[in-house]
Amino acid sequence: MLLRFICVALVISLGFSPARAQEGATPLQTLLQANAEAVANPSRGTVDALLAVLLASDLPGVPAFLEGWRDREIYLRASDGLFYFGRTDGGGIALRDIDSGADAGQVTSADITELRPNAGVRRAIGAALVVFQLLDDDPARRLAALDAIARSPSEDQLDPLRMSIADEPDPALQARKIRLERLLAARFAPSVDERISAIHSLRGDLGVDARAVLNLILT
Amino acid sequence: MTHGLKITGLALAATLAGAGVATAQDCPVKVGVLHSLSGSMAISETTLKDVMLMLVEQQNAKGGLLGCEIEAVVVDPASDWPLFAEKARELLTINEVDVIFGNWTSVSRKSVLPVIEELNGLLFYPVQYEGEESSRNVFYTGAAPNQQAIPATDYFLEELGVEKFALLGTDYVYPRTTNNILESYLISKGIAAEDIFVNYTPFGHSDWATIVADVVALGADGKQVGVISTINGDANIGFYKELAAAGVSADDIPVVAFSVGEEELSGLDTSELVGHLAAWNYFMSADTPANAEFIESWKAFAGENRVTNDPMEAHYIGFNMWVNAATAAGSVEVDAVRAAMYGQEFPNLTGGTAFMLPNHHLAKPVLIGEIRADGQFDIISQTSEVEGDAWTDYLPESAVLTSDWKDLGCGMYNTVTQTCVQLTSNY
Repeated sequence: MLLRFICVALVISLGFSPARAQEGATPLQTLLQANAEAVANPSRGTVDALLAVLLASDLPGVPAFLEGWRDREIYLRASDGLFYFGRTDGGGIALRDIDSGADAGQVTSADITELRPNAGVRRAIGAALVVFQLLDDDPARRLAALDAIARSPSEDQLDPLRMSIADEPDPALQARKIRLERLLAARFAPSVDERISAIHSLRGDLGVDARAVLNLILT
Repeated sequence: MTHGLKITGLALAATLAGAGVATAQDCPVKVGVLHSLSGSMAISETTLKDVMLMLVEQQNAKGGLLGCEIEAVVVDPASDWPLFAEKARELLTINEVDVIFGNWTSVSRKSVLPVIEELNGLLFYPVQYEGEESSRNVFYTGAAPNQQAIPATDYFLEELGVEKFALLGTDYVYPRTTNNILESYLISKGIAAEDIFVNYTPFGHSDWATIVADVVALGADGKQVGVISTINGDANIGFYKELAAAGVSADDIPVVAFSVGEEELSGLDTSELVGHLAAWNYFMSADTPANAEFIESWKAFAGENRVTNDPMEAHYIGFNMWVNAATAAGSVEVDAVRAAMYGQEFPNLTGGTAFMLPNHHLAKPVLIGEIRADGQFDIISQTSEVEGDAWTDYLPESAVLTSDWKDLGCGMYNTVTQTCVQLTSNY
């Protein structure tokens, strides 16, 4: 397991790829090609290293790619080995370029492979997307971000979540954000006082999620 | 290796034929079909009767078998386990069938075993099951635990990070034996005994609210919960409806089922079940030319809205292997066919080739699928062929046992004492 992780990390850090020549115009495609195996056949053991590389690249196309990947809208074309956005369109699939979003033609299902990250991988992708989604204009995306946090809470979500509460226009979402912030703060807040006050605020809460947080602190 | 087996099998069959064991074929060749067409298992088994009728019709169109027309003899054991034994006896002694394709539940198979072992019948059993058995008179074309339950549990542990397991099953031999194996396996993987919750319900159980609520409450300690379901028959409808009603999303508590496929889901609104899992050796959504052809002929035979599933593929492979073995043996006589079965190869509908092992189990790929909104499955994991293991390695009393009907002539052979424990099965 550890060995596999090291191998993946090595491949990622070396960034070797035949498609490297195209780097200038298609930076995201180049990055994906450098990690083609981890993108095409993702596993819970390899996805964290890949997500770290994608997020560290700061490329503007990364959030859209991650959403497409999670929602199974990314395809691998056999003829050129490149990744595309795709959407079923009539009998075939309409492809779009991964960097520019430009139309890349229509293909049939025999020409391409749909990438199907499993639920464990999709959960990791969802958690990585949270930072982008918490401030999105679309309330459905903000809700998706909150669901993702509830499913796999982590320390680095606390600050983005706190910063998004004041500007939240939807009262129901704001209430959910505040509750999630309490749940996260009880476990991850930096100071002891903050954690204790968050724990107190969960007093009498019968929700399974609140009990889950308290039980994790107790054990 | 498989090639070698095949040659030995053929040579053996030729010897038998030469010795005058096989005689000129009496026509017609009779195929018994022993599936419940009424009662709680009819939801799953009726389709298997239909697929047998299609396979027989197709073979007759190709000229039958050994110069004879094949005749299907269909009986209805009505989800009544003792009735399975009576119907099997009727098929073998009154109808004098040459082979039986049948059974879904293990309790019905256990009911039939003494009859077919006494009368030296031949049964092809098409459903994934609990293992711990290898009858001289049965070929198991469904998955053994190492071809379904164990890989699915590995998927839960490695890919979904499940830390706490709810093993929900119908109360009979298959779920109880499978869950014993899984409990022992999970403990060997470092899961604490108190993190394994086991529950059994009767056939046809319909009130799932309390059990689903108990499963949701398992998450109160912050551990990821997953459900492994060995629920069988129409109880599944109530179970999945309750999951949807309780809002249990596959992202929160994934459920993997071993006895739920396209046929069981075809009567359900699956939009709330998207992402829950099933482990099988076949899914209808497999994108291969052989599967497209199979689906086309099935729809033409049974109707445009009908779906295909894993036990149907098992019958498809089993029936074709039986036809090829009988052709190679030049006879449908049970011992001759049995000898010719070892090493039989036939293409899977999902790609690759299934082959028959000396322990009467198949080598087949393991697939894991996620339920889609249209009631089909997205295949998210597919292995190469895995050899079915009759005796599990995860229970100490059966780890020492092996089955080899070809060379050892024994289905329950103790490898430590090097003796055959018994020639008949445990009923």
